[in-house]
Amino acid sequence: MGNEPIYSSMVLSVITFVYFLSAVLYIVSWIFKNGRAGRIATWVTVAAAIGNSAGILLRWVESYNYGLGHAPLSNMYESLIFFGLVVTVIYLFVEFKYQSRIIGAFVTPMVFLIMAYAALSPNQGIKPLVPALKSNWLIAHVVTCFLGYAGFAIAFGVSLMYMVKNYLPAIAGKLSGILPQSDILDDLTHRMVMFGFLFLSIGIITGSVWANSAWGSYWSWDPKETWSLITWLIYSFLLHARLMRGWTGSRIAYISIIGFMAVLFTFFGVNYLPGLHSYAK
Amino acid sequence: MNSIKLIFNDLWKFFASVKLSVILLLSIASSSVIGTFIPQNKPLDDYFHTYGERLFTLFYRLGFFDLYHSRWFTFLLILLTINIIICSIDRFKKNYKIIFPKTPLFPDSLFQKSRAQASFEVESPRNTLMERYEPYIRRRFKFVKCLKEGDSYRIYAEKGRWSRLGVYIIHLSVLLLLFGGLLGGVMGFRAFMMIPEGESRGVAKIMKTGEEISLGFDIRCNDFHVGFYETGQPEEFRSSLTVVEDGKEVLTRSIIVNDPLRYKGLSFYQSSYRPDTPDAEYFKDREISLKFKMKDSGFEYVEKAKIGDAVEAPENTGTFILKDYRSGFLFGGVRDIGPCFIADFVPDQGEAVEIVIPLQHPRFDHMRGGDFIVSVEDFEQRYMTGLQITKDPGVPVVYAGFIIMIAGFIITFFVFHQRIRLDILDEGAHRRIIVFGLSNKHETGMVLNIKNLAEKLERLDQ
Ligand code: HEM
Repeated sequence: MGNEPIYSSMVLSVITFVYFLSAVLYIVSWIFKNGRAGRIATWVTVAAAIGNSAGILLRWVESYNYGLGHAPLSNMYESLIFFGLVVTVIYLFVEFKYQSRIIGAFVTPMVFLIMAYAALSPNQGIKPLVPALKSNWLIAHVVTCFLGYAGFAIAFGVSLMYMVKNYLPAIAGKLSGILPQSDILDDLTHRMVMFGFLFLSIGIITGSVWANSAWGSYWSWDPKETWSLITWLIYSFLLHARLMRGWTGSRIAYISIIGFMAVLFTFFGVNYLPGLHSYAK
Repeated sequence: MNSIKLIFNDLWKFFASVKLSVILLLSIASSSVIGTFIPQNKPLDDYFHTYGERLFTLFYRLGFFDLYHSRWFTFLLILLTINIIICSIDRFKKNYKIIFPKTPLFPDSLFQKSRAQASFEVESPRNTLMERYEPYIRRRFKFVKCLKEGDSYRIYAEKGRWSRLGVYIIHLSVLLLLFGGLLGGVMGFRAFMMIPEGESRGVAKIMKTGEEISLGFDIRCNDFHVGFYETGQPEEFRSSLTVVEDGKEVLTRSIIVNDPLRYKGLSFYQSSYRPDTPDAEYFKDREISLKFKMKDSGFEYVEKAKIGDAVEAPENTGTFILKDYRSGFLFGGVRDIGPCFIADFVPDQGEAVEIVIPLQHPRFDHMRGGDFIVSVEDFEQRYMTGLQITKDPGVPVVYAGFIIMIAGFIITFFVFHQRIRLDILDEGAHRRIIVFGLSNKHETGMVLNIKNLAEKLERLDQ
């Protein structure tokens, strides 16, 4: 098929390397306590986010040029690219709010991996939409789900930092001065989980409304739906454990890490589950 | 009497515990995992094949093949429902006095212990300070109380008290979702019907049981259309439907995949389609294009005819009469070759022959060995549209649950109950101001807020 989005693919491959650069800069700034590298890292990341947005817009324009005109949120490649952007933007906001760049050393490598993984996916051409996908609910669904996943991804990064700080005394001895205080990490995990939980909920809700408008059923227990519910229940468990049973620190960090595993499974793993016809013959 | 009360109390305590709810949330999550690893609601044969006899029996007993409707899963959901109700009532009773006090409460001992504290020193006399700070705080808080008792100069203020209700809104929304789901499961159904273009149907087949139900009115399919992209992928399925009730046309509307027709509590979704095999009635007065491929010259001709028409066969070979249509034809008395047209051919010289022209086998006429091979080139293909019909009276309840759940999250996550106390103390020549903050959550945020507030107040003095 001739619908290869040449220009946007080019932009997005370049951006993947810009993310790599920003990850290196954040890590250098963190390990060597180099403020200058940190400031450059921030600007490189801002540039990457702008380029990432431009790539997405360009892909949108290209889809119109091929006469298929639809928002670039319709397959794995497109959603990963969007996911990378959302994580970056939320991270930049957190950096601005907390005036700390250390989290960047944990988050930007993750974004780089997301983008690199996207670049490996086989289907990057722009495909026409099948009738069921033509719905504004679908766009609302994808956008909110990824906002949710992004919140959880950052909570995961922060929880990892918490684990490094508290469970690897050998490293932590050297790094303790350069990792943020535990209670700040703990608080940030909680905030990011709340953000993620809100948007995952809205994501599940818009998905339900979409399914109901397309197939007349707002919930049908298919594996993807069910896994998003499982994820939701795990984070709901986290919130209750924290608010009601007073759990903090490493216990919350553990749940946050497990929760993110569930997010990843919802997104990738579900495709490997025994599907509708895998044993039909 | 007393023992009943004791049991009741025990039960109440059991269901009011957050430990139970945490256990339930995790149990429901882990049971759900099982249902994603075992495909649900397949024919039992398939399961037997995949898992072998022993596992099959075990899984069957445990209800793993329709896990989300199994008794024990339903039981977990019922426990969760009771848990949420009792727990919320229990907490609400305890919080009632804080949420709806006669006058807002400011527990001094808690203020004293709070991590959110900040202080600064200024020169002005206490009365002046009081007058300066009060309006500033009034602008930022909903309720403000000033105290001047002997030596104690104090301002109390609070806002966001009602946000403590957010949790109950969230829990109510979860109840609505559970209740709406139940309502749909008990009172609703999903059914399916196929309607050929131009015809009406009033009966649909329930998907789960295969039972037929009457809708109480008819649906007519006026037209079905499928559009394709250049790539051959379908772009759109569209059916034009008319509701016919008591012989009267009530409503006409087109539906596409994401845009169903709703009538009398039923929703009609575009779900599938297939080409229809027409009956003889359909071909009355309808033109059919026939292709004649001449044996000698190799030329091809297309002639149009209706049933009963006689046309000149090409290249002056004779007269061709399209006689009949049959929806099935047994070739040689054994093999069904599907729907066919039957024609007579009267050549200019020689005997008349009967020709069978099957719709699905264009090369069939080859065998006759005549002057030409005739086949069906084209006719107005009729489609059947496949409609899914759902009735789910739970949907409005579930949607209400969705809306208030989002509202509840926004309230609990972004608004919180903030209370402050501001002490103005004499300390020799100057005054010491101490600001305390108290909130129901977000302690770290409150520490920051109090720090900011103290800085702003200090600046008022300059
Ligand atoms: C899946 C269902 C549930 C969801 C989505 C949910 C959601 C929430 C959320 C988001 C909060 C945090 C509110 C805040 O930030 O202050 C909360 C608090 C709470 N939840 Fe749940 N919850 C669920 C089930 C339950 C159940 C079954 C119980 C029963 C014991 C329960 C008891 C509580 C309690 C006691 C609080 C604290 C209320 C307070 O601050 O007074 N929740 N819930």
